[in-house]
Amino acid sequence: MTLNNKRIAWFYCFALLVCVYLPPFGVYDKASSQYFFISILNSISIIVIPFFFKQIDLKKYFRNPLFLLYSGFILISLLSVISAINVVESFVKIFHLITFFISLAIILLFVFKKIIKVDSILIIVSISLLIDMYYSLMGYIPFVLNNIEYNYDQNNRLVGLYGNRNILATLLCFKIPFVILLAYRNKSRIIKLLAFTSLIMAFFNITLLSSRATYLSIIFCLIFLLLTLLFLYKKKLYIKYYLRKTSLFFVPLITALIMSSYSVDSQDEGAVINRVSTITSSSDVSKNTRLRYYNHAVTHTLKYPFLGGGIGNWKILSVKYDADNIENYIIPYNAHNDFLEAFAETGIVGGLLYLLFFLYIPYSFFKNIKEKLYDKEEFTQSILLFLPFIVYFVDLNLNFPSSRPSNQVVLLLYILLVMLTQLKIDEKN
Amino acid sequence: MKKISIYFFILLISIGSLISNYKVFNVNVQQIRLSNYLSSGSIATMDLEYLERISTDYPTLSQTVIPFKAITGTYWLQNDSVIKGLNLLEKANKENPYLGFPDSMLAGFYEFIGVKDSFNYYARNAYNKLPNAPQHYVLLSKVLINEDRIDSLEIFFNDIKERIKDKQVFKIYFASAVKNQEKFDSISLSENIQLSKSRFARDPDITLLTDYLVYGEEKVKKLTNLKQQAIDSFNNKPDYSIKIMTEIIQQIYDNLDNYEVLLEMHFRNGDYKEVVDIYSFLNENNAVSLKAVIIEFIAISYVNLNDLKSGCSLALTLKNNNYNISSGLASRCNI
Repeated sequence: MTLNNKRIAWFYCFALLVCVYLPPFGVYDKASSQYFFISILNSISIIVIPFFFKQIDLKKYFRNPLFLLYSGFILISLLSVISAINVVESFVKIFHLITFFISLAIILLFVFKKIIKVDSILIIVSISLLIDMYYSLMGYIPFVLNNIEYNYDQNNRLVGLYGNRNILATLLCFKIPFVILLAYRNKSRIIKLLAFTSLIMAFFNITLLSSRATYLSIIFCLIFLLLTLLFLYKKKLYIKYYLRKTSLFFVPLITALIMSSYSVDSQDEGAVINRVSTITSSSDVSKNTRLRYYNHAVTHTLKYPFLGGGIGNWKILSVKYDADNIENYIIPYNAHNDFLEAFAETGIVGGLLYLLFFLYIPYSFFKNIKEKLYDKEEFTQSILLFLPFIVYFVDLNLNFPSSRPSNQVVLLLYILLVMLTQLKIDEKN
Repeated sequence: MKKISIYFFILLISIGSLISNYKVFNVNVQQIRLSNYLSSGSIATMDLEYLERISTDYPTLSQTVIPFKAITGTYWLQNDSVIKGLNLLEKANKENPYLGFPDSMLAGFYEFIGVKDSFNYYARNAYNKLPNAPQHYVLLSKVLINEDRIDSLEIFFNDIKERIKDKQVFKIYFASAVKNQEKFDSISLSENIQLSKSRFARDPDITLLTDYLVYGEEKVKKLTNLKQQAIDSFNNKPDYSIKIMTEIIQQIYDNLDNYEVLLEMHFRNGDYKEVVDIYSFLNENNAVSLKAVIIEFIAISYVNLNDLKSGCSLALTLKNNNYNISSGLASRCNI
């Protein structure tokens, strides 16, 4: 097997995901080993790339909004070091940003060169979904075998490879549309059946994990899919086709909810209805804690609008703001909203650049929606491809995926997919 | 030419991030051991070789944003390198000025060498930075005890007890109460004893202190000796030991440790029905935070009495908490 640029591209994407699954080698925080593995991969790739990619058009980079926005954010982050209490921690974070940035640059190169297939990415991500589910659901098997009732307190048994149910649930939810797209694009019945089964199990796994942020993501995805349906109805366009294709989302979800109602007692905290109803509860501790963190981040941004508190320094500053609530040195490491944290750390300009980087994804979806609308396949695929963005965006607003390489890796693969499909549409037009 | 320089720039920042991420990774590998030292309060016992492996310069903060310099500084303070230790702790305070951990370490040092003013200064500093950190509260309590301000100690304690569910906070309060019981408000003290019984039934120090306060120091000491005798004679006279333990429980009825000893004795004596009955009684009284090994005895007792559902449910709980259950129990429960 000879190496060529296509294989290099495929291998890079595959290796990027492998970095998430490698053993952590006894680290306290898994993210540190994952960042290290990704930076090894990046450095090797930077050395190897010139041998396989002879002509790289730099102008394409400088015309790419994602590249420019992220470069701008890194630049502002560098400037924000001036206002940092702890400069070293600023550089630790800047190098994390650079790690992501280099991966983004490599991914964009594959897009510009058009050397990776959409299906390859869908397969890679779908396999990773199966791995995640396998390690999680293994913890559920003893409950089934011994006929023991599963309840909310047991969900830490299902965290699988991630050590945290919220991370796992978000990742499962993020990867679900990839499997739907794989089934959509593939004609093989076996693949479709496998995908359908995996989707049911993935949704069921999510209900067992009881992560409210993920439930919220699913609700937003449902609203989005239904609004699109309404839009198509008004326009009198291919509703049946759209319903048939999006049923790959609805049917497994409903099946999983039915399965969950048999597996978790309706009175238990982990029952879907009970978990969803607490999202709006005004007395919920987790919700109120988040609101307090948001308030702190906004206060700090308004106090220091130009360069914020210095990149990588929110974990220090948050102690000052939350001192009355901190117990036993358990500090609010993140603001639980990556945008607000970016604003608080780098000021208004930095925060805006960071926000725009993510908002460019929906922009690229909707900028030529009219053209897509008349191609039912293109349109439906685009709608399905938009779902991971909803999941990631909800996570960005409630948790801290930007500090977790496991989330960033799938985001990179998602960006690759979005850019590839976008490029095809642009060329068609 | 331009392309080549851009390429080398990217290569350079890529290697830069590799080095940075390697350093963070390397420090992270050390952190599990470090957090064990921190949580057990045994920084002074760290071995020097390990201490030197901890990079204090990059990154500077641990996972709980405690500056590494504060940890190494504390080590040196407690190992006769006072100047080095003080310097590191002062630097640590600059790296994270809001946590108060270096202040608390400095307070501990000045308390040890008997410099009251400095101790008061750093203890108050630490408390003002993070008022809800139990370590900081303990330091402030010491300041108040030194100043004989028991009324203030009670006010601070009653304010903090609902927010901080930490045993250190209760320990210093009860230790002070054992010495100065007449100065404490008896109603408030009795409420706090009840509160601690529900929260820290497992903590031997708090149990002992509250038992002293409720049953009297002398009686508790006498019954503790009797308990030891019962344990020692169990192998030869199991029925006698069980009788003694039952009598002790009748006199000190809310000490979970005594129940555990009795449960173990009944289990080893083959009285599975007794084991299950005592467990049911404890369950009814919400005293369920038993040791894992005792829960395993109860699970086995249930299984031996053919109540597989109850026994295996307990066995699964143990397994969920990473407890290695016996192979016999595991195979009976298929886990």
